Amino acid sequence: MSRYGRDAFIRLIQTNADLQGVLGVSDAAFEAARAAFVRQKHLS
Amino acid sequence: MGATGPNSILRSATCLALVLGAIACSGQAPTSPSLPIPTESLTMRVQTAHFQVFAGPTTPDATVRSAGDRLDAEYARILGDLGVASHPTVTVRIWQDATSYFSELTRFFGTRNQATGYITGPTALRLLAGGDLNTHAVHEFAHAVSLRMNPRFGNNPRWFWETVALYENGEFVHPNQIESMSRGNFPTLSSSTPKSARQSTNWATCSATSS
Repeated sequence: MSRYGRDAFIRLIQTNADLQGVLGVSDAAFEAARAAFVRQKHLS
Repeated sequence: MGATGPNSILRSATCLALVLGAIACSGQAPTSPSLPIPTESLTMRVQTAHFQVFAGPTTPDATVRSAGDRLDAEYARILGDLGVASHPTVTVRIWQDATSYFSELTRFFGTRNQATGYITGPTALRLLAGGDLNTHAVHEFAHAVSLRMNPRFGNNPRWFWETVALYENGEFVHPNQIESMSRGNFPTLSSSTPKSARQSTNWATCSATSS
């Protein structure tokens, strides 16, 4: 949410989480970014 | 929990198979009739600005009122977060009796699962009393609003369906509490399907946590 904003969050709901179309990232890139974020924020 | 409708064809086929199986196996009438299983009867107990709350006679007034008040209190925030101007009045059904609750859940979905809350559409929440009922109620309401925004959103994809509800409901679960994540093993998006609830929940937690 903090990275992409509320509008993107809403568009993801409307598009069944079309990551490429809404955020411009592939599933793999999203997975990697999520994992890195969680590791850095919560598991480091 | 999802909003997928009951698979009436599958259910009918299953019932037919059971009937045929019973006929094939019995060969004679049963010696004693089976008694009908009593089910909890729900009546409307509380009407709030946006919710009608139904419950059985054994559910305390305070429980019913508390659920309605909590839902009303979160209503405007969730609609605002999701960019929705209004939402129709929502019916909330609360079962105290687990047998009645799971019987109805199984009838609706055509299969048994352990969910203590689910929705049957954008305006209908169903809950089992006990535990943190109010939190479960708001979680299901978040599902309901998101389903109205996109009628095809229920469990599709499951990881983001759950992410929205967890995030809107402030249900933070530390990744350390999820064994696979605490070891650095993150589920893939493709592993998140309605049939892989654990993976989906892990992903939803991951996404909600990092949002």
